[in-house]
Amino acid sequence: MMRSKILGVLALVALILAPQYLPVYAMTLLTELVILALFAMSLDLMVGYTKLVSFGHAGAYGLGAYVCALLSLHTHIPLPFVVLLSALIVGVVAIGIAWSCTMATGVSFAMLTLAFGQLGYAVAIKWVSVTGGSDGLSGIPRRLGPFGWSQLTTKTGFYLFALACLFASYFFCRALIRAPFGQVLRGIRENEMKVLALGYNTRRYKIAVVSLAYLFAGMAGALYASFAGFANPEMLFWTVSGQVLIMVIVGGKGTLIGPMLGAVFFIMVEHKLSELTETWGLFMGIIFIGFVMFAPDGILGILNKKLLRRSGQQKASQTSDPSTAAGGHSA
Amino acid sequence: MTTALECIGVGRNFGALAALAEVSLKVELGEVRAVIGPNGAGKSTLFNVIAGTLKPSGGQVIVNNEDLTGMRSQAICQKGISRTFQLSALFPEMSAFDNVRLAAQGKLTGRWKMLGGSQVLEQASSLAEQAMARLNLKEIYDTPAGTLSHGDQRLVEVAMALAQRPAILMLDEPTQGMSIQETHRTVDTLKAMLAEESLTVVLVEHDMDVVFSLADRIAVLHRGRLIADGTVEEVKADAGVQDAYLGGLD
Repeated sequence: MMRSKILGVLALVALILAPQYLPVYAMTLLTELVILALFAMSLDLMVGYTKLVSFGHAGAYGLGAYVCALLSLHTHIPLPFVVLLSALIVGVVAIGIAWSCTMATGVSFAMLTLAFGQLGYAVAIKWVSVTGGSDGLSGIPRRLGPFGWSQLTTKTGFYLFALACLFASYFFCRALIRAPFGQVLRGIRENEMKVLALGYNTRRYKIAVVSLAYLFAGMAGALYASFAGFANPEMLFWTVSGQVLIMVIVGGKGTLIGPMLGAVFFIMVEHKLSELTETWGLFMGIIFIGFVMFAPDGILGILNKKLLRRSGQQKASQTSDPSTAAGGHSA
Repeated sequence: MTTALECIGVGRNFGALAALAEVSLKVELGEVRAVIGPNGAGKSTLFNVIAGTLKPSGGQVIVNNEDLTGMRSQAICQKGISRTFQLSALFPEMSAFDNVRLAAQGKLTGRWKMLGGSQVLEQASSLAEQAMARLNLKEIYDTPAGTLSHGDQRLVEVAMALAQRPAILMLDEPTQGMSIQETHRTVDTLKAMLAEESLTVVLVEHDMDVVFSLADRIAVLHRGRLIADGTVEEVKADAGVQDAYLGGLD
C-alpha cells in the first residue's frame, strides 16, 4: 500500500517536471497520452466497476470534442471553462442515452451503446452546416483566460492543464468508488439481482455511472480538440470505442490506474509497430488476445503480482518461523 | 395480536397452470411461520409473490396495513421485507463483511452518496457487525464470500437480511443442500438469533426437523391450495396433511 503511494507521488512529480527535460515532440506525445489516459479511465467506471461494457464510448469522446470545437469557434469562453462546460454538456446528454441503454442488460446494452455511438458518427458526417461533414472542424483556437491568462494556451501550459484534469478526475473517481455509491456499483458488478433484492434501484445507479463515465470521456474529447486544433468524425467511429476498450482490459480493469497504463501501452506499441509494419493492427490483436488469455488482470495485475512477490520474499526472510508466514490465511 | 402480513386470496398462474390459487394467510407480529408442502405445492411461488419477485395474478398482499400487491422487489424491501434466496445469492468476490455491509446500507438514507459518506459506511458497518455477531460469523469477516463453505454462505445471506432490520424476515429453504452437521449448526444459530430478536419470520423449508424446531405455526400448501394452517401439533395431527405430505413421517 505504502509502496504504491510512493510510486504514485513519484510519477506525479515526474509528469509535472517533464516539460523541463523532454523535447517538444515528446511533449506532444505525452500530452496525447494524458488525454487518452483520461478517456480510458472514464470507461473503467463502467467496464471495470459496474460490468457495463460499452462499445460506443467514442461517442462521448467525439461529442465532447465537437462541443468544445463549436464553443471555442463561436464564443470567447476561456479554455478551462470551455473544457469543463463541454464535459458537463456531454454528461447531461448522456443521462438520456444511459436511460435508453439501461433498459437492456448484457450484450444488448453493449449493442445499444454502439448504436448511439454510430448515430453520433452519422450526425457528424451528415450535418455539414454545423459539424463540417467528413472534414470536421479545424482551426479551433485556445481562448485566453481567465483573467487574461495566456499560460494555459502554450504547449507546456496546456500539457499541465490536461494533467490537472486527469488527476482531478482520478481523485474524483477514486472518492466515488470508495463512497457508498461505489459499494453499490461493486454489488451490481457481481450480482445485480441481489442488489435489487436488497432494496436498491439499480437502474438509477447505472444511469448515474454511465453519465459520469461519458462526462469524463467528453472532457477527454474536449481536451483533444483544443490540443489538436480539430475535431473530425473519426473520433466518433466505433474502432475508437474498440481501442479504448482494449486499453482498459490490457491495462487492468477495475483499477482506474490500470487503464491509464493501458492507454500508454497501446499508443507506444502502436507507434513502434507502425514504424515496422503496415499491418500493426494484426500484431496489436495478438497482444490483446495474449493479455486476455494469460494476464486477465492486465498490466497493473502483473505489476502488483511482482510487487507482492518482492514484499512477500522480504517478509519471509525476516521471519524464520514458517507457521507465521502461512498463518495469515488460516485465521 | 396484530397482523404483520396478510395474504388475501392470492393466486398466480403460469399459463394454464394455477401454481397458487386463492391462498389466504395471516402472519402475526413476532411469530415464526413455516410454509411447507411437497414439491410443486406453490411454496416458492407464494414466497416470491410476497417478496415482489413475481407479480400475483390475483389477490392482495398486505403488510402492516399497507397494500404491497405487485410492487417491485426493491420497493418491497424498502417497506421492510428482507429475503434470502433458495440458491445462495451473494457477491462472491467481496468479503463476507462487505456483503453484509452493502445489505445494511440498502436501508440507510445516505445509500446514494457519491462523495464522502463515511458516516453512512460506518453506520452500515455497525449494523453489519451486530448482525454477524448474532449469527456467530465473526471469524469469516474478511473471507471472500465465494470461497466460504455452503453453510456459511447461507448464514451470511441471513445476516444480510438481518442487517436490514426488517419488519418481516423471509427465509427460503435456509438449510437446503446442507450436510446434517451444517443443518444442526444452522438451526441452532437461527434459534438463538430468533430468541434474541423477536422477529416476524416467514420460512419455506423442506426439512421437517428444521420446521418443527423453528416454527410457531405452520401453513401447508398442496397443489397451490392452502390445506392446513395451525400450530405444530395441529398440523401434525391433521389427516389431510398426513395424506398429502407427512405420510412418510412416523
